Amino acid sequence: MKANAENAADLSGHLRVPRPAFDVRAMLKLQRGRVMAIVGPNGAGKSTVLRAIAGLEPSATGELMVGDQLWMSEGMWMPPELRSVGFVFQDYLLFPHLSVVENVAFGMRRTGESRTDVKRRAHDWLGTYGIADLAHQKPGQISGGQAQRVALVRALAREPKVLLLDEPLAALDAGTSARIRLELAEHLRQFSGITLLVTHNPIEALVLADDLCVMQEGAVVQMGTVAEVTHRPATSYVATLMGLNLLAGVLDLDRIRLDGGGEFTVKSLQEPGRVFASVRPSAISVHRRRPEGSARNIWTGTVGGIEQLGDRVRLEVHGPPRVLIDVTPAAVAELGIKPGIEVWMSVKATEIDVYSASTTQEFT
Amino acid sequence: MTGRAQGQRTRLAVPVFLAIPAAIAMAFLVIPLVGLLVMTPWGDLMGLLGQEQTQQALRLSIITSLSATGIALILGVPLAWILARVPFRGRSLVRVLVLLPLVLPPVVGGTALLAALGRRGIIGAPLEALTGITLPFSTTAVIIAETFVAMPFLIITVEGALRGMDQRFEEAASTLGASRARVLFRITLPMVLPGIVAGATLAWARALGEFGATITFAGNFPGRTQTLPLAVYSLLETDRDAAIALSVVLLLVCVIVLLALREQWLRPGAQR
Repeated sequence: MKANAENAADLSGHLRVPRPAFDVRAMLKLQRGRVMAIVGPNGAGKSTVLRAIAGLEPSATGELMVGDQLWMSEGMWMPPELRSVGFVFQDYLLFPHLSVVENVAFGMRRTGESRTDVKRRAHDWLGTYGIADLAHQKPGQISGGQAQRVALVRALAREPKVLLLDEPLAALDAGTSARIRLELAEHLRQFSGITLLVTHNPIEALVLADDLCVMQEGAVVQMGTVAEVTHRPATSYVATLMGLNLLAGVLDLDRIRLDGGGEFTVKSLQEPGRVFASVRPSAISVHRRRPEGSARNIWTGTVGGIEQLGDRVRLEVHGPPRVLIDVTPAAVAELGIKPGIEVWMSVKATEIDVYSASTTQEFT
Repeated sequence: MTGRAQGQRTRLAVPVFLAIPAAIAMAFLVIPLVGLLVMTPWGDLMGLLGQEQTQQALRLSIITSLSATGIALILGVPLAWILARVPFRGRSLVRVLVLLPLVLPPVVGGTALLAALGRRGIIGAPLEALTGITLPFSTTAVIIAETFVAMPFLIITVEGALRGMDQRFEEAASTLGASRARVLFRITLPMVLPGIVAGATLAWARALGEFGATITFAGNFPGRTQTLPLAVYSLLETDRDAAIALSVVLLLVCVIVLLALREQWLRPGAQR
């Protein structure tokens, strides 16, 4: 029932879609059998990239190659109906006047196949995904979670080369979305084609994707495996998503002069030059007096915000440098931490991850 | 005084200077219809409707109004689609031209049709020279006149439905491999079907009641061009009871149309 190997193909190309505020530009190299998630703030142009690949943005220019087939190039543009894509829309867009099985069958037509045969195959697909009992319902009669499954089956039943999912879980309530997320992860693992999904939800990206592509204001600012991007974010957007402190500065031997003021001593084999330093909020210690001990970096700051995050408390402390720090509620009580008080902070040189800022800017 | 009593007081407090003209307006609209129903010879209704002239008019009206509705559908839906979906230069001018017959006095419409399609008209003259066909004062002329006044109703209603439809459904269909024709027939038209039905019903009601353009362009010949409204007009001189009976039939049809459309408007999501 899965897309077979000859159906699958790699995708490569570069796109540019004119927009009133800014052009959306992306250079893409996607491998079959892998899932890439495009993440980024609202309005970054994430969905536009998906739509351009599907052929829904006629003003797009650039080049797009899927397998050995050219979908777009100078003076050539393949209409959406000829592209082998499966598109799952954020609000699913199930056709309200067609039953579930008719919705699935709609995209499955092959030349020379009878209507009954198509319907039978559509039924088989619904059965594989455990929703055969919905076959004759209208989309208005099923729940959000069920509609999400139908939308996925409708897209997969075309056995597409490229599966595109635009915020596939955003329309679901939190409980349902957590359940469906695991199901979706399993289905995506089984799909052997190229998968590209857009999400603003970091957990979704981590659970569903192998690779991440970070977009900001229409441009790709970082691309890599999930581990690479999350451990070494190139944007404060991703750093915040991942709960990391991201500080930019200039490295000289073992010292970084930070852009916002302040200095870190680090252990790094990086070449001197512009770097990012990322620090986990839990790696920083807070003290009321100047700490003794081995930590190489010690500085003071004023406590700004205090926020409960699960079983920890996140402090925002204005330095320089300004950092987020995670401490236990017990520590807050013990140290008498409240907004406005002065604290000492320390972090070991080995807890600071240093990486070049230039390697992350080559995708636009 | 309780809150509820206060609420009732406010609800009852319609100012007199509004209540009186409102009541007069209502009476003005309703009394003629009441008069019609009072004057109707109910006992002899079937006999009157069975007369040769009324039978002919009924039959002719049904045939011509349905034909006009069919033509309006075949030609009007594509025009509505273009107006709704294709941004082109002069689109608002086209829309004004399409809507013009809605406000144009029907007799002017009939005169215009005569000027275009009459024996000396800009199309009528060459048409007769080439084929020998003359349009005015024929049943075809009735259908043409009715289509002229009825089609705008269909076009604006369908255009509104197309604009109100979420076009991303069409995008979704195209990502599912559907050609533009398949998208139109399997997705777009079924999804705006309530609008098409409403537009066709309005157009049909307008065609059925058409008088001015018909009598000007097609004349008033029993059995050939004399539709129901024309028959009512003629019978008022000779057989008042028959005229009233036919009027009641037309009134009844209009009430049914209104109720049907009301149902449509009250449940816009009925299709889903």
